[in-house]
Amino acid sequence: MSLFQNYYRKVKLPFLLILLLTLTWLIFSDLVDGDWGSLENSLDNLSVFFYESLWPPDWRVIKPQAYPVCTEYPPFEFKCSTAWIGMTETLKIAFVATIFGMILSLPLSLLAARNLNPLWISYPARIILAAFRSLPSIIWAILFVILIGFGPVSGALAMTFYTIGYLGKLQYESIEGISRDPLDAADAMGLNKMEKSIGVVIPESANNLISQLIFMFEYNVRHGTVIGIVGAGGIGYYINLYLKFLQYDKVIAYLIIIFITVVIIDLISIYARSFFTEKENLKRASWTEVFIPEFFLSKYKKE
Amino acid sequence: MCGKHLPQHPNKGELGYIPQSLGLVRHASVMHNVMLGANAGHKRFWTPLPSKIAKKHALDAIIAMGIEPLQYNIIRKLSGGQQRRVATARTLSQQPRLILADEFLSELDEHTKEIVQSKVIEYIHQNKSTLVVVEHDISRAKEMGDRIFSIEDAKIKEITNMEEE
Repeated sequence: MSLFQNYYRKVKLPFLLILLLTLTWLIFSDLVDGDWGSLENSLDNLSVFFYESLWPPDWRVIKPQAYPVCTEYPPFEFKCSTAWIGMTETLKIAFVATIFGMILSLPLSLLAARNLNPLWISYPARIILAAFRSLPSIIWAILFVILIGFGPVSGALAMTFYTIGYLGKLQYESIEGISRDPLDAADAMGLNKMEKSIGVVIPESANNLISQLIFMFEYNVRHGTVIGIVGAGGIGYYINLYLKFLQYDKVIAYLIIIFITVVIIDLISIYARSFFTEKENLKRASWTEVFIPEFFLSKYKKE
Repeated sequence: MCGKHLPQHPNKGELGYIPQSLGLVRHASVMHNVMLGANAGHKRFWTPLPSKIAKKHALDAIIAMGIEPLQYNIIRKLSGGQQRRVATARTLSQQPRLILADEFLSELDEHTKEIVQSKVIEYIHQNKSTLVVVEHDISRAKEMGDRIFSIEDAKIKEITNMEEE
């Protein structure tokens, strides 16, 4: 018995890993459905597509447009380019959607938290949040383009709706994670639900809520680039435009700009969120550490 | 309790509670925490902002507990003893009719212990309130209490003769 248990304990982890990998491979084979030939040429195809159509990027996208006439002075002429106009619009959409989403999701997440409300209140609130979340932002964008028309307003509203669902879930989970003691003390004092939410729950989970808000902005910037494809404003509009004209070299230029913007926002987000971590003794990230990898810094410090 | 029937749900602010774990809002200031108690005792539901009376009671309680210089500090940055005084100030600012306290004098140095104890007893006498304390230090319990109960073998027994133990 004990021999078997010891043997099982030793082999358990590798056995589970092998089982997981085998299962994954079987499911993948099922998806390929015997057509392995389609995968064989994929690398060659990628290389041909990359060198013939994508590379080099067409950087005319950061030059001012021919029409309307650019009124900016020389160093700032790039502000008339489609890349700048599209990217700033995406950032604006993401910002507005994050703030509107936060304002609307917070009351819902307070209702959805099981440590604050009985099941008959929290479950309907959770179902509402799940409904907002079940449609991806691009489907919300299609819906709002149909309802309102093309443009960034549809994009902002679509992202707001998705934000409510996604941020609401993050919020109620962090609210459920707060300590029971202040809530018990508030109950003994006789504070009502509203006073308890404003006075105890929100301050107690504020660090998490702010950190999630910053994360959500970063997420919305990434997803805001997609919704333009269905005409809901932002840089996605221009990507779709050039995809239609098969100008892939311009598309790759836009994608590089999006990549750089997302990386910068990601880094700023890491820095900003480091102010709202729970642990006091956790070392706060400095700008140098955010922009330069740690192993590089440690090497430099040793020298 | 003690021959009287207490309501199952006391009116807002009538019950003060100092749990052993204190139950403070860790990410908020001292003033915010004390104002929670003051609002429970002195703010009506339909008024959106705390009243002047609530603010006055909060400040009085903070001064009584000697934590006035710390009133805008964040709770999680305070020491255990300071946090305990904040929890006591929160309950005093509420002006409850009954205070339930679980070892509210632990983690305090002797001098602070005397001050906190005397202020709480003073409040109890002035407002004709009741204080129910769980205390392991029997001599301190005798100093504070009119009636003392001990729990032995899961049975509650009243100590009638104060000099007995």
